[in-house]
Amino acid sequence: MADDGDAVIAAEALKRIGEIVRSFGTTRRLDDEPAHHAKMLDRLAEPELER
Amino acid sequence: MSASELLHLSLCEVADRIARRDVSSVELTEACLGRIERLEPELNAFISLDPEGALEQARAADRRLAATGPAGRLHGVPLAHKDLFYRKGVVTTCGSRIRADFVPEVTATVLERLQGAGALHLGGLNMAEFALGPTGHNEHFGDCHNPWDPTRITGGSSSGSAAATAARTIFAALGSDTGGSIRLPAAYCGLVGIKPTNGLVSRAGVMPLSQSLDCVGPLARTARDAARLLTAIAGADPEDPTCSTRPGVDYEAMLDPPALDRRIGLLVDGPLFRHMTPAARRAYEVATQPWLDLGIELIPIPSPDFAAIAAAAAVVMQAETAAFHRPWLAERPDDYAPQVRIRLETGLDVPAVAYLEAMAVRGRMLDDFCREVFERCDALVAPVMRSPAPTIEATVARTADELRERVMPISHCTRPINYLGLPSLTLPSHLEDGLPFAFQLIGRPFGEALLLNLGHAYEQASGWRRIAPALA
Repeated sequence: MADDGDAVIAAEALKRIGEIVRSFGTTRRLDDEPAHHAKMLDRLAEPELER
Repeated sequence: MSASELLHLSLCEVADRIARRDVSSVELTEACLGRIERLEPELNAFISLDPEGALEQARAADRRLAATGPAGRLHGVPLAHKDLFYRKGVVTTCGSRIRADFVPEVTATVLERLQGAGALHLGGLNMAEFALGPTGHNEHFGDCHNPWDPTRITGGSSSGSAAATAARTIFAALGSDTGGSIRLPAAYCGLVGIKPTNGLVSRAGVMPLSQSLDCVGPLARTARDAARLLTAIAGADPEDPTCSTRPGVDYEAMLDPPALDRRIGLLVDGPLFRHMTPAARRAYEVATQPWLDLGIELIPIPSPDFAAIAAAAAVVMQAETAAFHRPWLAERPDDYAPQVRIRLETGLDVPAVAYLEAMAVRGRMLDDFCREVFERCDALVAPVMRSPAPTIEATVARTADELRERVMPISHCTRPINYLGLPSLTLPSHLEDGLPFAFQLIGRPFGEALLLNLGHAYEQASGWRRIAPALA
């Protein structure tokens, strides 16, 4: 099962990643870049706790 | 106060006593070294130990305290860390035969920061070979043993960090977390462990496993201890270009008052529960009681697609670990333990296209996850372990089939969070048949202050702070 996600199940994980990509549609976006993940972390950041 | 009583104090309590000169760093270090000598035959938590060096550091700390006051909030406190944090001129094995004689030319930024805050360094702690393994087995340096029951695994890969901290031989330790390697050993050994947001803590001078998933964080006995350590190590670092430039936060100062008005979600079904034993499922429900005692109503949250997230995480981790290890896999394959080599070699077959696809959708999957979860709640309670610590014998794996059956399910609940890059805090809740049970609290990016605040409130309600392994 792909949801175990580890090395000995590479084949299932590889198949699943293709499905995930297709689920997002065929339109590529400029933000489909690894660096976008870091920017997304910043954008979605927790507001600071009120002291 | 006896040596044993001193060692049962938390890191913050003992640091504050040193600062008040109620106890010296030398007394404390001698107490730690005495307990290490007594318990190491059972635990095997250390790969290297430098008693003379530790006592010299302690004497210097006491002299400095008398002359100019404490260097910082960790002044004089004995710590030790997973043996993958580089220290210039000191052998750093990474738990491996391949790096058994590796002498780094740099010191990890996080070690420099702890030293700057006044902490002592006793030695290098046991770990899974190259940080690849969730159990605590190590064929080269010997398996690490759980202080709650030495026939049980500590969890990995930061096995020694958890065993030593839980056994009260040191006050806390740093670990690293690529797929659960802080959160799992913290859970199995009854500790607080935090995997920070990707980019919060520098990885300069830390052995890489999977460069886009690796995180550095503390394993500690209390949320306050973890907060103090995270405050010391977090923040921008010119030596690590992937490190966030967000301003530093004093996490300890933000523990009070408890943020009980925040919405806490509860994951109640979905892929993360797939491998949980019925007993663990019941324990997960028991673990919710302290939240209710605090007057918090938990909000059931529909499960995001953790199966998809785990698949993407697997592709990224396989490709990145294999790329780093390819030269050694070609030249020194027999120097890896079979379990480690099997996992690494599988990554050699991951196509570049699949890796790029997994990286390309990462931002979108994070965005989807945050919308599905954090529009409903501010922090999410989720399983971290499928059961309390299994035995060392039951988790031996030398073939791919044994790995699949005995080892893989262990990190089933933790790995997806590394791909998303979110912070997650392991919190121990209670004992199940004499072994610690725990869950994880997942937050928004850079939400460590809220997680630690809520964790601090939870541990007051659970009473876990008063529980220690009999061996300690």
